[in-house]
Amino acid sequence: MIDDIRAKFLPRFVASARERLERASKLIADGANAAPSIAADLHTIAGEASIMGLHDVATMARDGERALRIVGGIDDPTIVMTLYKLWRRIDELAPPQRRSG
Amino acid sequence: MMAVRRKQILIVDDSALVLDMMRAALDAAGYEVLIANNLTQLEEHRSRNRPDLVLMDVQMPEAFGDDVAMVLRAAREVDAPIYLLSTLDDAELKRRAADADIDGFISKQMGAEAIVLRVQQIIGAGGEPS
Repeated sequence: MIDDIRAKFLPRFVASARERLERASKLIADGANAAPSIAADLHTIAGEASIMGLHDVATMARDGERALRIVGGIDDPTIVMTLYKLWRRIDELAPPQRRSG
Repeated sequence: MMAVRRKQILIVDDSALVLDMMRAALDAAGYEVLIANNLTQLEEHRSRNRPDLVLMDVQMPEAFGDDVAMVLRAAREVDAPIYLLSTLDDAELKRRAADADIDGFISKQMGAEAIVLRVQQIIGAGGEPS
């Protein structure tokens, strides 16, 4: 039963996580001082991934959130790599749709 | 045949995905689930229902869930057990629950399936759909 529920909600989780990661990457690229906003998005990804049983995703997101809030803020060198790893893992869960034409 | 009341759970969380997935998991286990995405919805449910259990996220845009829970408990507006439901570390959740004088916490890190089992330990089985 829980596997059916998880499968039903996976596409929604992936779409939500991608949206949050895109927003975080854009904020970093723009040089915005957006540590609280990105940390909040990572916190949400961690919570949703935990409920989904995606514990590796949740751990990555929590590590990123911790780095932003406690360790080095937006300048922490691990942040970009954490976002990249998360993005890769999300793509493994559901490969992005390629546009044709 | 007499209808059996399903035990009612109120979940407060700013993530619509968490709310919908937990509702699906708990509904499948026989519970009636009320969901609140913000404090306005929480107040609407609280004034109209008497839930058997309240699960409260901690980090929400409007307020910290443990602060909200402390108000509910101090004002005796909710008799039911109140548990924090969060992905924060257990030690922090334990401290926040104790400070708020509520019943405890459930870690989101357990995943939906284990959370349902924990709910069953706290308030018993959900009951049959009426």
